[in-house]
Formats: sequence, C-alpha cells, structure tokens
Amino acid sequence: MSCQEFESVSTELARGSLLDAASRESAHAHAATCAPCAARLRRERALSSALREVGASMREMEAHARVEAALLARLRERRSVASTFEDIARVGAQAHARRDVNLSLFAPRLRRALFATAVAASLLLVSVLAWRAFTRKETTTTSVVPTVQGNHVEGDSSSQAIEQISSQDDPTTHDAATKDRVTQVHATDEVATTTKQRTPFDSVVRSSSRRRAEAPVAALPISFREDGGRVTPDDAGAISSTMNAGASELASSADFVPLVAPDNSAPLDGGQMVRVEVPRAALAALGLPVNASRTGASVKADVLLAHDGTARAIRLLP
Amino acid sequence: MRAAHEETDESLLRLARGGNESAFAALYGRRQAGLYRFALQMSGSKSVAEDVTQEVFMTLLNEEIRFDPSRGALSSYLYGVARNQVLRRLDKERNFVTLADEREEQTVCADERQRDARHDPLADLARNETVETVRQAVLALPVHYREVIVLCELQEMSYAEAALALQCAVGTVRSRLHRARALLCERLRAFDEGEESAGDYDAARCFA
Repeated sequence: MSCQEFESVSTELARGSLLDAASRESAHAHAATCAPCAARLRRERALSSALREVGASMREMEAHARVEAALLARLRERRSVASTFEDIARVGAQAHARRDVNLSLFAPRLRRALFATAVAASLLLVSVLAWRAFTRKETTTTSVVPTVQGNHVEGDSSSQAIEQISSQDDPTTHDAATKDRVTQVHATDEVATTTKQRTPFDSVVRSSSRRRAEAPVAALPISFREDGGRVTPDDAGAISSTMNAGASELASSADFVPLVAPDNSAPLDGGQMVRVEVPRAALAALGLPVNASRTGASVKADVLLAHDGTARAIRLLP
Repeated sequence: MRAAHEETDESLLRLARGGNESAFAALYGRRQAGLYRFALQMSGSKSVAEDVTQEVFMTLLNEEIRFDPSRGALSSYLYGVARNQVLRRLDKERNFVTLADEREEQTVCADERQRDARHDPLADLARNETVETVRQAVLALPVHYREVIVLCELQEMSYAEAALALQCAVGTVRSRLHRARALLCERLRAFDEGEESAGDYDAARCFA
C-alpha cells in the first residue's frame, strides 16, 4: 500500500468502519513501516476519540418539555378543526341522504346564513345601544311618562316617529276653540317635548312610515301647535284653512306646502305627521324649488297625512 | 393497535396524522432528542435547536408533507427537514456567528488533553475543556463539512443515512467527511500550538 492509498482509507481505518479485512491488514502494515502515515493514523484516531466524546457528552440532551407541549396543543387544535369539518360533512351527507339539502349548495348556504346572522346581530347590537342612549337622554330631560289615550308611549318607536304635537295644557294654545279640538289627545308639555326629540330611530322608522301609519297609535286623531316660534302647524283646523288659502300664505306662516290634488281638497280635520326622506327629484316634480345640481340626493321632510292616509302638506327640514 | 414502541416510524406517523396523540407522542419521544442534538451541534444555540425541533414535527402535522416512504426512512426525512431549517436560520444569523477566533484561542489538541487527563487530578476538567474545544472547532467548520461531521461522527449515522438526509450521494458524504476531518485535525493542531505559545508567554510574564 502506498502513502496515497493509505491516506484514502485512513479515515475509515481510524473510525473502525473499514470493513474490508484485506485493506485493513494492508493499511496497518504500511503504518508500521511509514512514520508520517503512522502519525496521521494517530491523529485520526485521536480525532475520532474526541468526536465520540463530544457526541457522548451531548447524548442526554433533548428538547425542552415545552416543545412537546406546544406540538401536542397544535395536534389537538388540528384534530378539533378536522372534527368540525367532519361534523359539517356528516351533517351535509345526512341531509343529502334525506334530500333536505342540495349538498352542492350546502357551503354557500352556510356562508349566507352565517353572514345574515352576523348582520342581524350587528343591527341588534346597534339598536340596543341606540335605544339605551336614547332612554338615558330622555330620563335626564323628563320625569313624566307620556301617554296617549292610555297607550304607553315610552319606548314605542312608532309613536316617536310620528310627532304627537298636542297638549291640553300647552301655554301656547290660547284659542278656546282650538283647545276644545285638541282635547282628544292627552299629554303633557313633556310629552310634546319628548316626542319631538329626534331619536336615533328616525332613520329606521322612516323607511316604514307607511306601515306605521296603519298602526293603532298612529291612527289617533291629533292636532298641532306652534313650537317656540319654529314653524309648526298650530292646529288641524288652522292648518286646513291656511292650506286651503294657498301655498304662498302657508309657506310664509308655517313652511308647510300644501299638496293639493283634485280629490283631496276636503277640509283637514286632523291626521298624522310623519317624518320622511324625499328625493329632490320628487320635490321638483311637485313644482317645489330644488337645487338642480343635487337632484339625486334626498331631503328630510314632515308630511301631514289626512285620516285616509293621503299626504296633504309637506314641510322641508333644514 | 400494537404498543407504540413496536410500531415503525411510518405507522406512528400515519396514526399521528390521523389525530392519534399517543402515536405522535411516541414518534416525538423516539426522534426528538437526535434532531435536537443535530440542530444544537449545527447551530451551537439551544433556542435555535428547540425551534428547529418544533418546526420539524410541525411539518409532520401539515397537510403538505412530502415524505415518501419509498425514498427512504422517516428519520432521514426528518433530519433533512431539520437540516433545511438549520441552514435557513444560519443564513439569517450569519452576521452573528463570528466568535470562531475567540474560540480558537482556547482550543487545544484533543488527543494531547486526553493523554494528560489520564495522569492529571484535574482529568474531568481537562476532558470537559477538550469536549468544549472540539465542539467549538466543529461549529467553526464550513456548513457542508460541519453537517457531515455532525451526522457521521456525532450522530453516528452511516454514510447511506447521512446521504439520504443531505440529499447527496454516498461518495459525496465520504469525501466531505474525509476533508472535514482533515480540516478539523489541522485546526485543532493549530489551536494547540497557539495555546502552547500563549502559555509560554504567560509563563515568561509570570517570571519576569
């Protein structure tokens, strides 16, 4: 064996992994006669011994228990998710077997149901928060519970949407005849004040004002009064006469614009007022002056409804 | 089901991926120490070794595991994953692993220390020093030499197993190991000579 051949097997020889007995004998014989190769073999053996010692010194080392805990937690989480999917698949398969559900539509339906539930929950939450905020405000401004012909108004969103502007003891109601007409509705000043407050529900009830107009409370006869100089109907008769007198006169006194149609020219002897959002385009169609550049937008308005539900007058709000 | 210790790695893996916690624990218990030590010997950092160990077993739980039993044993696959994780981390932390020069100052030849230890009352201390010196010398090797030293020498894998883990030929492992050992021996000898000269300097200063 030459020195070059010895070098090629020296690593295996030192590690004890040279399996060929003939090569091993030959290498040992060369090392016995060649000092440099013998020194190389000693170094290689010393290195192998040192490396074994390093390996042995670390043999007891292992990962901390937290690693296993984290992995097991991950496994449980994965199993839980898999179990959920299996449950969904099983329920879907059972429903499919009963022909209750089209399996191909199962996932989209489930998504839609979840979405609808989330939207409903959000709306409910917003409503509750808004109602709580409103009732808190009401408690601080009035201690009188308003009633309308025995119906409890507090918390009734439909009654808040409809302005019940009447009071037997209203100091602004001076005319005796007017007082007689307004005795049909019993409420205090606080009632009027309270019910005239804008509520967070306005935007909600506006969209369904027509339906509420048919509700029992909304069907009550009401009259109107002046509200601290701000233009509001004083009473049904006054309004009716003013309306019948002409739009310009009404506009100067109450900002209510009559909606006169050939078939609704009967005197107004009561009714309801609802707050709505009216497209500017619709106002323009009625001949009311509107900003032409904003015909796509809406404006808030109070609409006076007669007992038969027809709109008799409108007042635009700022 | 047979006892966990009788199951092969592959069947334990199949059970574990089916959600069997005890199978996963058995597989983890069987393989984690070797993988942890491999990562530790490659990186020199316990935290990296723990992270790598966790990542390796996390890979087993992932959907997109690419283990193919026909291409080799699971243990080789795990070492391959561990190696990739270690290399990725070493690549990130390359700028922070620059302590080789300081380690070299403390390095002595392993066989000299072992010989001394047989006659020295401080044999254990010397042996510990030797172990630490060799460990640091291994850590100072280039990665492709370091990994064959770790797998074949410290983990005592066969060339074939190491070749599977490193995704290379057996001949490549053999030649790399040969060169790695030569380089390691040379460095250890250089460290030893450096310490001897440093010792002479200290002695001269003491007697001055």
